[in-house]
Amino acid sequence: MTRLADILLRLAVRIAPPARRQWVEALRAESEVIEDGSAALRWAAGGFVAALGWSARRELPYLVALPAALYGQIWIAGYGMELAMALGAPFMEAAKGAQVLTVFLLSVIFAAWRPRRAVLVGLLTPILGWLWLLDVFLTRAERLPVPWTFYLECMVDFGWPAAVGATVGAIIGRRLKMA
Amino acid sequence: MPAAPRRLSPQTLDVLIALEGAGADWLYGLEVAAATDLKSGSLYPILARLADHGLLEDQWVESDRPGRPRRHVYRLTGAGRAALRAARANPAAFKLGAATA
Repeated sequence: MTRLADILLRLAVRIAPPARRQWVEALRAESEVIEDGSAALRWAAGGFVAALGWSARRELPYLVALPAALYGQIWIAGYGMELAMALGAPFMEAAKGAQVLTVFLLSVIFAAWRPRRAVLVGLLTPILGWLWLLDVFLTRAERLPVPWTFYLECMVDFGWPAAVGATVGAIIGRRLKMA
Repeated sequence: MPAAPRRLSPQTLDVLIALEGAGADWLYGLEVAAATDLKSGSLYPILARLADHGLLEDQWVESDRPGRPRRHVYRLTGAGRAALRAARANPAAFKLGAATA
């Protein structure tokens, strides 16, 4: 049981935010002194919950902002598309261009915020962009025959800006943290 | 980590009292837990918060048992004692951070 307690506290050290890590290390050092296995496990469980709480508090702004921004990109890209069309761009180019730019910018921002999550950001942003395009074509491009390859093309088209944006963002984020 | 003013919980007060009881001596986390009857999951966030507000000082010390990792110990600071006095005088109005800033 003390082995399990140690595993739990090692995990707690990993999930705790850097500013709180020494407190989890302190908890772990105390658990080494507890002789009774079940008491050590209870101590470790408490430490794990504390680490989880600290981590959740630190991550909360990011965890709220990311889905909000991913949802918000539908509107941002929508306005971008309207603007491009007002400037004379054809519907298809305007839709794609606005979405590509939005995906790129969101990927940069969120990957810079948490460089370790750059891969997740790079995977999430194009998927939602694809859903947005699907919505556009279902609601606005009435009876427009769209082959399934078009959607595949969109995934590729949005995948690249997301990948590039997430990479750029991660580099910026790491540089800013080092500075 | 920024520490916003917040009302003092009964558990936090228990921790302050336990640390005050030790005087100038350093206490291990397990000793504070035993004195307050708090579980580790409640105690350590309180200790961390008190340290953020400068009400307690902490340090790492060598374990008295060879081969064991260093242990973290705690004691009240002057600001901690003052905060405890203020909290005892007017518990309803006392806020951590507001009085210690």
